[in-house]
Amino acid sequence: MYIPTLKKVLYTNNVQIERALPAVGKINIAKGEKTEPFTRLGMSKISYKQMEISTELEFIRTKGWKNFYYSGEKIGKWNSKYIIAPFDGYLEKTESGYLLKEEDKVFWLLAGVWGEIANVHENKAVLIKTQTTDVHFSACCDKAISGELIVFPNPSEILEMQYLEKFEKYAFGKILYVGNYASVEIVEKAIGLGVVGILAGGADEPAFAIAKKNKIFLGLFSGFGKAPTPRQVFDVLKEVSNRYVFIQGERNLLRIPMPTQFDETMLKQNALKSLLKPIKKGLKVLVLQEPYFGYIGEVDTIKGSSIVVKLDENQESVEIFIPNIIAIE
Amino acid sequence: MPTSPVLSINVGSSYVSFLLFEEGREFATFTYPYVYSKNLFGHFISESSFYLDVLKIAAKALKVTAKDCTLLISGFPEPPHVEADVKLSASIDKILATFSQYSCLYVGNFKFLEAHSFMYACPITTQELDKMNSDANLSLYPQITQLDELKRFDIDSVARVHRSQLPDILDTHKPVVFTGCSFCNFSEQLSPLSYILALDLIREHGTFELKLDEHNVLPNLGLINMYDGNLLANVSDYKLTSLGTILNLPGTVECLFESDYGTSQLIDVAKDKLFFVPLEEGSTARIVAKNSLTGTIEKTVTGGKLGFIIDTRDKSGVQDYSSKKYAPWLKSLKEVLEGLYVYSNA
Repeated sequence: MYIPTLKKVLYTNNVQIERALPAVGKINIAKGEKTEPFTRLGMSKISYKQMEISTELEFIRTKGWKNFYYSGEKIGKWNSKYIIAPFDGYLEKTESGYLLKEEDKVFWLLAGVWGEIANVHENKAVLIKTQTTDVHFSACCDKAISGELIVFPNPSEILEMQYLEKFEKYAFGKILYVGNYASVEIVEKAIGLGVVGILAGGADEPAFAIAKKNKIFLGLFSGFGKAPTPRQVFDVLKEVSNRYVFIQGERNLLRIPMPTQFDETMLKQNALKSLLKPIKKGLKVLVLQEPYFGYIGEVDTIKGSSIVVKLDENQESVEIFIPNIIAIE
Repeated sequence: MPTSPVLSINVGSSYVSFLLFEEGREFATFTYPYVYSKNLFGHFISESSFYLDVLKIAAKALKVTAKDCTLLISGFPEPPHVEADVKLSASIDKILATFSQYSCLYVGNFKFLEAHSFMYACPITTQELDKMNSDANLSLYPQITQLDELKRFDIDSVARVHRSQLPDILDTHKPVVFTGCSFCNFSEQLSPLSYILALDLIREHGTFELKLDEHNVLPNLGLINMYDGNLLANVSDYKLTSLGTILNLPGTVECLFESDYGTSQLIDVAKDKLFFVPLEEGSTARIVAKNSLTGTIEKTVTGGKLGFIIDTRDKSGVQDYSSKKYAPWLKSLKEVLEGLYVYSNA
């Protein structure tokens, strides 16, 4: 009997990554130039914060709109309360009222990857040719994001929340690998902290729905429920904490930029001798049968469609029936 | 008429089934219990490459060379695109509509198809976290065979609910064939849950001859017939598993059962029961059934694996599809399948 193989980690040269300015600005790098993660590619000026104010605003003094307000300055009164500028900015009139826009600040676009500029879209974006280690999500939101990846050291479910709380001040805008299981509480807490993506081995279906609703990314390396992260995936993640990474949700991929191109030996690991592998003793398999869903083990004995698998986690031997297993690399 | 062997491939919701037809030879079949999933394989292999690899395995098992065969392929909602010289590809719903001699009911995980309608997907409605996760995992890993009876029952009940909302679609003069991945078991004996699902899908009143497509060959036979109508003299020649005949009448039924051997018995079946009378495949019996809803029905019925089935359950509208309610019916069915025919009401 032959079973399909699932590849969780791929090594890819010549990946093209787009880096774009949030607004039209200036690109100061040329085609063919080399980049490193902190290479400045270009800059634009953007306003990071905005505040909408009702048309019923009663201005105090004679400043009115079209003017600059300092942080903490009283703008006017609405509903018997003073409206105070929370940041330095200009007040504009819009169709629905007034808008206080934070003063434009300089945004520097960093490369995030080791590579070479493949193309420049004047004043807007660049395309960088690089190399990535790609990790596969079994399930994920259909979003493209990028950010700094923070990897928790696969804490137990009880400790995950403590790790997250400890990390509270630095979580904004980050992508967090929280461990084997992302509970609803963890996902909600991470949303509150302004995290842009959560990665885990498994999560419950409602956690997935919450992530989607709140427009943050949730990527699962195994599947739904308490499904652990495959060892080969965690082995990659633990080496790249704090790395700037790219997620292509549509392709179910986490792309981790790497400093140098992969050699032939590494690239050969991508190539499957055959997608379908014969089940034999020692074959690494992913178990898809409850209550061992998501566990990885080795085929021990085979009797017809009944396969005894020795789980890596605890060396327990469990009986699994075909087709509830799949080979894994 | 082509001289090369015809290899028809049917990509179902969780299995791929192959049927090799060669003139002068018996049909040969092969089932592969995995299908392509973009979520799982899309990042490193295309759908076409996946099925070409499966085709190689199948061809080896069927002792032919794929390139020497006339290839046909079917799937749902559309057949997969395979980079090979495929002579005909068609969707399963269109194939089912070509069977004039059968009423075909196709059921897969969260899928239900018949000649005139289909249900392809449905939202997860359960509130139980464990079941929610199981159902969601089934969409990621479509090959999963749910071993937990309660969960499997709930998955099947999606088809039950859909069927209860359809108008009458079965004709008492045509055998009903159950096909699709829910009725095709790869290795073990078919689960009793598949049989009870089949019985639940008969909602129309009257007698119906029931057949089971255990090797999921019907879509392949239909596809071969669509490719060349002269190739198969009679599609009905292919041996489907005969389950027997069901007398489906809600409420109390009084039935006189006369076997070929001259024995007769009068059977009273109370409402909400499933009653099995042993009648082996190839045997016939004459029945006279009385019921307040339909009056008297006189008919010659054929036997099969389940024999002659008197089903007095009310299947109108959406019912309570709880496993607790089904427990006695399932117990009775299991006893029949174990060869212990039950003569008393379940």
